[in-house]
Amino acid sequence: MRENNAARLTFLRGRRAQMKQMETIMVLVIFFILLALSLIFYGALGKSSIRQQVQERFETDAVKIMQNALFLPELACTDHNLRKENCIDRYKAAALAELLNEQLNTDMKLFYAKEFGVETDLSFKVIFPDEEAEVMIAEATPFDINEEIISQEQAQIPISIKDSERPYNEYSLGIMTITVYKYGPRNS
Amino acid sequence: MAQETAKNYGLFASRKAQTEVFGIAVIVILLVIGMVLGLRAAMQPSKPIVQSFVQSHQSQDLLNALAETRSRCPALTITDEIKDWREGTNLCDSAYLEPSLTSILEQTLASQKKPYRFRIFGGDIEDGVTILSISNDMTAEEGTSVNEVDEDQIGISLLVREKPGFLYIPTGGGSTMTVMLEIFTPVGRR
Repeated sequence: MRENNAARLTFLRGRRAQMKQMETIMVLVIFFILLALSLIFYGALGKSSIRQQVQERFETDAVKIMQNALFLPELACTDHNLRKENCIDRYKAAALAELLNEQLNTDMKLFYAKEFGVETDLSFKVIFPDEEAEVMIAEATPFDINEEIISQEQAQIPISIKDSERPYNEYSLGIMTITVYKYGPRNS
Repeated sequence: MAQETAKNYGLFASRKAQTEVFGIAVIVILLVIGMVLGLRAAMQPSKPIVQSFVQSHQSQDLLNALAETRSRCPALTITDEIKDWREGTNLCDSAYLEPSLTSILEQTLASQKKPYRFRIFGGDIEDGVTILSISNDMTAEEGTSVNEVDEDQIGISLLVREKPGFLYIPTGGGSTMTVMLEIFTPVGRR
């Protein structure tokens, strides 16, 4: 009887130890599952936050480029040495366009790349009183031909366009379109 | 006695287990709340910087440019034409004004699918009477017309009014006309 009880006790103790072990293993398993889930979640969050920061940076740069383009002295119109806001001189714009669109004028393109980047389309169009064709001042050219446009930001800003040849009432109304592109590796 | 002790021990063990389960439940709930909040913060779309930059002064830029644009009448600017139309001096055919303004607004704003409301007041906005109002009707598809957007309705409207632009035109009688341009953005497109 006593031997029987001892054997039973040993059996029960062994079972209890097994259960304790199982409990510890389960706690560890749950802990690691939670840890893995948190890491995945944190990673996804970080990735999305980085993507957002990159986009914000691109948009901030685009605004900077737009402001540079609007205040470029090469385009600005003046009246008795006073600079007019949001106004471009059509003859100055035509001269700059000619300079930038010459195929071999890489130096000049690089010089203006400081002002509005090489990945920017800059154009204007007279819409009133007479509608005219769009004039391209600068055209975007990617550094690497293997790249493609992955994102773009466009602003259409109402401006005055000065025609200095007219003796009076020399301003027309136009729209300046500034498109800033972001290039990235081509998806093949 | 021994039986009672065992019973008490069993009760104690079961209570301890209950407390542990409750603790785990609290931790899981806190984790889920944290994840949901984090996810919501991450999913929140950032404010479009370029659009904010353009919209913040688009109406004023347009009015500034419009003010000195030459009109279809020889030797007059749009400002002169508005003045002439108001004072009835007939330097220019008054039939030109509204089509000219509509054409400009259509080409600049309606082409970008932007609802607008252009108004000319006889004096100050507060006590002046609207003497000319031009707005586009493309807002029907958005559910609210620009003319339904009043000062006290802006918060609940489907259209958000951007910063308006103003132009003040002095007239011969010592009074001033006020030109106001409001541009709206449908809520979903912000």
